[in-house]
Order: sequence, then C-alpha cells, then structure tokens
Amino acid sequence: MSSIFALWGIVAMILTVRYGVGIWGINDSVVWALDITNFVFWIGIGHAGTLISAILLLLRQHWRSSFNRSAEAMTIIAVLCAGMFALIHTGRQWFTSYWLLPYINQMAIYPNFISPLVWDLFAILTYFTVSVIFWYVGMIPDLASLAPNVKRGKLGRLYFLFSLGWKGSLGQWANYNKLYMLLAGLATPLVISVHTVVSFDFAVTILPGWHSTIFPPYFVSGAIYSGCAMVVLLTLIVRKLLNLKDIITDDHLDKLNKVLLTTGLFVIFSYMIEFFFAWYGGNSYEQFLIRNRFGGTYSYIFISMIALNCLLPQLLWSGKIRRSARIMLVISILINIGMWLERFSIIVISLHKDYLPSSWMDYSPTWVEVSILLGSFGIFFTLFLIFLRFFPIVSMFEIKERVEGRHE
Amino acid sequence: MSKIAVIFPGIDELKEGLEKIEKQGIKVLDIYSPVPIKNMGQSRLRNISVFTLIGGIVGCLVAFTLQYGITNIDYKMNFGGKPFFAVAYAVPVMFELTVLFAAISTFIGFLCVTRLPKWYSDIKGFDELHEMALKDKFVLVIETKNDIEAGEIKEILAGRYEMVVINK
Repeated sequence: MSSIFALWGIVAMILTVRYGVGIWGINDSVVWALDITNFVFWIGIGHAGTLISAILLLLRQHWRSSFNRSAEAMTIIAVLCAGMFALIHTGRQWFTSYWLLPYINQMAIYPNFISPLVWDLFAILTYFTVSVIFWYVGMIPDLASLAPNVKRGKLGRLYFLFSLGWKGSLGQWANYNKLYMLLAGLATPLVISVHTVVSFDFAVTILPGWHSTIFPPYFVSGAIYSGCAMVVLLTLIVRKLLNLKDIITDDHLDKLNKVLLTTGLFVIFSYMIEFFFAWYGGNSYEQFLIRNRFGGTYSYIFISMIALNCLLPQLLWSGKIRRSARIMLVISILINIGMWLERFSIIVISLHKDYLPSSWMDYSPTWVEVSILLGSFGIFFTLFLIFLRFFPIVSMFEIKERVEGRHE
Repeated sequence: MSKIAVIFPGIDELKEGLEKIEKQGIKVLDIYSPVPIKNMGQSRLRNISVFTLIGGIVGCLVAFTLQYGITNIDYKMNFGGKPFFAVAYAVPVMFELTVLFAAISTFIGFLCVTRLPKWYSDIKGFDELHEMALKDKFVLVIETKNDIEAGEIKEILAGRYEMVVINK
C-alpha cells in the first residue's frame, strides 16, 4: 500500500523534473508552497529521533531504550524525504550542485555563503551523516549478537560484516560507552542548530511573518513537537505489529506523551509571542498579516491549525488519555496534520499577501504537488517497514542492561 | 599454555568470581559481556575524546578557510556593498563542519582504539563462547601456565560455574 503511494509520488517527481516546476501551482508571489512546507515538515519530523536518542541519553532517561532505535530510523528516513523536496524545489535540479556545493561553476563563481540556503545544505548533510553514524553505532552490539542466530541466507553474514567483529570485551564496552556519549553530546547541539538554520531561510528575509527573531526557538520547538507526535504514532504501529507490549509499556508512552504536551506548550507560547510582537511592534504590515491569518483567504487553515496544535494536546493533561492507545493514535495523527498546516500557513499565508496589493495572489496546489506529498508519506512508511523487517527494532543490549540492572 | 574460560550467568556472579580469582593473584586475560558493566574495564580505557577535539578543530578551520578563501581571496563578489567576508555569516557553516568532522573522527578514533573491524577472534576455538557472551552469558578468560593452576581455579570457584579449557 505505502509502496504504491511511493511509486505514484516518484512518477510525479519525474514529471516535475521533466517539465519543470511550472506544473506546480506556485506563482510569482507564492514562490514557495507545498514543496517547502513538506521540506520543513519532514525536517521537523526528523528532529525527535535525535532528541530521544541523544538528549534523553545525556539526561540518563533509561526509558528511551524501548523506542530509541525506531526513532533514529525515523530521523534518517525523514531527513531523506526532506532532502528530496529540497532537491526538487529548485527546478533544473541538475544544476543544484553548482548552486549549493562549494564547487566552482562554468562562470567561475562559487555559491554565495551569505545565503542561508547554503548554510542549510551544510546543516542538513551534517545532520544526516551524524544521525546515520549514531544509529549505526547504536546497532553494532545488536548486529553482532544477531549474526550467529540468523540462519536465513546471507543476512546473517551481512549482520556479521556490519558488526565489525564486535566481541563485547570490557575494553570494547568502555570505549563504546564513551563513543556513544560523545556522539550524543555532538548530536544535541546539532538538533538545535539544524532547525535554527532552516528557520534562517525565512527569518533573514524582510517578509512580514518571516522576518522575526522568534523563529529559531519557534521552529525548534515545533519540530520536536511534530517529531514526538510521529514517534508516538510509529511506536504504536511497531508495538501492534510486532506485539512488543512487554518492552514498550504504557508507562513509556505516558512519558513520551508528557514530552509531547510540554513541547506543545512551547509552541503555544511561540504563537502568543508572535501575536504580541505584531501588536507591540506597531508595524502595520505585521498587524495586517495577523488579521489576514485569522480572516483572510486561508483563515480556515490557520484556525484549524490553532485547534489541532493548541487545543487538542490539552487532552494529554489527563493520565487516562496518555495511556490509551486509541486516543493517542488519533491525537498524534491530528497533531502531525496541525503541524503541517502550521508550515503551510507560515509559508503560503505570508507570501500570498505581502507589501504591494498588485502582487497579491492566491495559491492552490495542483495534483502533481499533492501526489508528491502523498508519495513522500509512501516513501517514508515503505522505508520504515523495510527497516522493521531487517534490523533490530529495539535496542537489545540496552534492554539486557536494564534487565541485569534490576537485580544489581 | 592453555586458556580457561569460565562462564557466569549474571553480573553478580561474575563480580564475585572475579574477586576470588584476583585474590589468588591469577591474571585475568579478558572478560566478554553482552552488556556494558558499570565501573569495569575503565583501566583499559584510552581516551577517544582527543579524536573528537582534533576533529572539531580541524573542521572549524576547514570551514573558515573554505569561506574566507572563496569570498575574500579567490573570487570577490560584491553583494549589495556588504563586506566580502564577515565572521557572522561564516558561523553556521563553521559550526556544522566542526560537528561533522568531530563526529566522524570520534568514530574513527573508536575503531583505532578498539582495533575494530576485526572479523576473527584472538583465541582459537572460541567461537561458541563468543556467541554465548554476545547473547546472555558473561565469559571470563584466564591464561594458565599449567594444569595445576587450572585445578586451583576450579577449587576457588568450588565447581559452581561451567569451565571450558581451550588448548592453544
């Protein structure tokens, strides 16, 4: 099912590459629309993985170990999806390397390092690489322990190859722990920096609604918020599919939902600050933007975003709801939709009516853009299910450690 | 010369057995464990954080040189009268490359210090024991000079744990 969506999305992407971004609904005013909305959305999803694996590791929150592996896999796949949108949104994608990589083009000109798009390239590639290293390092002992037990075909040999011949001697473990902590320490500021740089793409322009110093923390908290909602969703899927109720307990999901609620409050606070800035700053363009959000062409998007992102998570104050799988599933899906709408309203509502009324234009997506969006979800879930099939989905040695620690 | 492997079912038993063996002045070659054990193996620790530091410094310098070289030496471009080079706009890329180089060099440092990858065992005939140690058993390896010592070890542990003698 998800691979059908993935194929459909890939076809739409091939059409985009063949015929250019003209077959999208974007126009002179709304130059960024679904492409960048999806890009920011997926990068945001990609944040919770490293949050859970790195920050909770540094804080010695051991409950992370039941779902950190799937969260890390989610990060990597989501960053891949985001990278796809960053690549195709440029149009004439075959020139991208000249625009972004520090590689001289035919006119002997380098990319412009004053542009946040170039910073973004460095940020995302670094984030991707470090996430892959972190994920792989976390799997080394598990792959070694799996290798002798897998008799099927060449898989066992592959596990052995990638386990690097790990033996689990005490010297190896001591160095391993140190490595894991160091990587967590490096990944933590990276989580903050990547979405900060993504927000710079908007914040360094002079457009009302984008030109704002609140953007970096606003984006980071929003990213962690939507990412945690996605982790809840995937954890529920994994628990149901593989019957892991004893390892991923209600207690773990309860804690995850508390993180979700907290980041949700950050997001509400960011919205409030944005309204306050518009009022207190006295800038008429900013004030118009807020009015346009509540009462303009896309007011239904903005109002449903407020409902889904601000009002809905308040249900999580109740302990019963934090432990009910069904309600959790619905809430996590709706929060993800809400966060997608947030990115849409940041991008499209700000762009479609800015300074000059003569350049005001409305935007509606074409089927190609919608297909690519659905296709990205297809690609995400296909890759995630492949991951479930072939890799140790729960960090086995960390669970063993907790079992051993119980009677220590 | 032969090697003896003692198999313990849990951490507590391992710690108890290890204490008894070390009291007798017998040298333990290595311990293989499925999980990291707190406060053990630290003596073997060589510092891999040096790699992190060096990688970070190199990454930062590379990013600075890259941006300074491109914008101020190799090809000066005038973007709206802004200065050719300013530290402020160079910071994001410098930060990212610092982290990138640090992470990669930490991983390389780990491989150097632990001598991985190594797809074989130092001890011949040890494959099954490795499998056990990766799964759920704690395996302690002792090198003995003669059979008398082997008997001694058996005595110390009072025959409570499984022992395997590996002849080299």
